[in-house]
Formats: sequence, structure tokens, C-alpha cells
Amino acid sequence: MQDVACFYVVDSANVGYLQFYVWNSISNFFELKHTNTITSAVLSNWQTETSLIRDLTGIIFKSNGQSTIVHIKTTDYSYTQTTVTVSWGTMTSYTGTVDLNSLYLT
Amino acid sequence: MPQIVGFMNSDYVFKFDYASYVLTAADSIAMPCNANQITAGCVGERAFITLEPEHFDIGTNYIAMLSPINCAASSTLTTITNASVRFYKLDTVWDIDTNNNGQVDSTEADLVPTTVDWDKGWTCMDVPTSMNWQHATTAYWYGNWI
Repeated sequence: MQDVACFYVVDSANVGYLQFYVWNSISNFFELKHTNTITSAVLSNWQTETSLIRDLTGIIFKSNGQSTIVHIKTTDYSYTQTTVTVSWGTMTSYTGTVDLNSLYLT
Repeated sequence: MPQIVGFMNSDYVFKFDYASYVLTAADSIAMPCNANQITAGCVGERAFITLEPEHFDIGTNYIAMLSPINCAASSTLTTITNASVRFYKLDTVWDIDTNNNGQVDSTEADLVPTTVDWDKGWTCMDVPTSMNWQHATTAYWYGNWI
């Protein structure tokens, strides 16, 4: 089951939330099922520098200025949050500085 | 699972494999030619861009990047006439030139070695000037990053 809609919402206090909605077929509306408070100090350019990628079991989330990448599982409606790590082991040609804070994914 | 790519600045785009909560950098795409490639004959302005998320997108086969410089622009030689979109084909297999001499390694013993194709995988399309997105320039483009 992957009928989960995900939105990234930032409030006026610059706190970022991931909100997960599931279609309520009885009353025909998107029902808010879960909220993750994911970023406590969102940067001003978050509209363009936030990565929200679907995979087979949920979503991968990354925001600018944060080195942490997370996965949130939606297929079982558990919304379990797991940290995603980055491996550069096979990337021998890159001689620059790795800066996960600035990494943008798409 | 679609291809995941990412970048931290304007030098490389990385292709990532993803499994079991690990993103593994599996390949890299040099945006402007890197120092070794320039030494070996690559033209530095191949993808003269500043990578920003809002100027970058990925599809099934290509990544696309907006550039404020037209495809045929040449630093210090031409004026900028248009903005452009630079495309890179994701499944491109690069010519291997480990000693950076501009010749494909597997042909170096040949009578006439094959020259490395530095533009492999890249295509470019100018966008109409009506979009007003080209870089404001003086008489000639001096190749400044913007």
C-alpha cells in the first residue's frame, strides 16, 4: 500500500514538519495520519533546497543546512524514521570536500 | 526506484545507488571539465553553470541544467546571446583516460590513438532570448562564474 500523500510544511517559527495524509474513502477527504517534526531551524531558501524523494517503501528527506538524511516508512503506515547514511567508498575520482550540509538530492 | 543524483557545489553531480538506508555514490559527472581534463584538452566551458536546485532537474534518461550562457559561447571570444539548457545522458560511458594525455587508454598502442571525446553525453539547446534569462554581459564574455 502506498496511498500516502506527503507534504513538507514550514510554519512561521521556521519549524519544518512532514505531514502524511491518507485518503478517507468514506468521507472523501485527505485525512492527516501522521506528523514528523523534522527540522527545527529551517533556512529561508527551503522551498528550493529541500529534497523529498520517494522510494519503494516510503520517502527520503533531506533539507539544506542539515547533514542528516532520513527515510520515513509509509508502506506499513508505521512512519518509522530511519537515518540514511551516505557512502563515498567507491567514489575515488572526487577530490573535493564532502559537505553533507550542502548536499542537494533529486 | 528512479536514479538519485545529488550535488554539493558546481563541480560534480554524483549518481547514487540506494538500498537498505544507504546512499552509495556510484559515479560522478564532472560539470565543467576538471583540472586533469582541461590539461588533456577538454574545453573548460562545457557546462559553465552554477548548480542550483531550481536550475536542475532529472528525468529517466537525462539530467538538465539551465545555464545563463548560450551553447556556442566562448570565454573572451564571444558575446552571450542566449541562455541555454545543458543536457547530460545518464547512461553515458566515459572514455577512459587514466594518464590524462587526451587519448583513450585502450587505443594508445594503435597507430592513431583515439582522442578522448570530452563532450560525450552532453548536448545543449539555446532558449529564446524572449525568456530574458541570459547573463547580462558587456562586449565579450570573460568567463566569470555567476
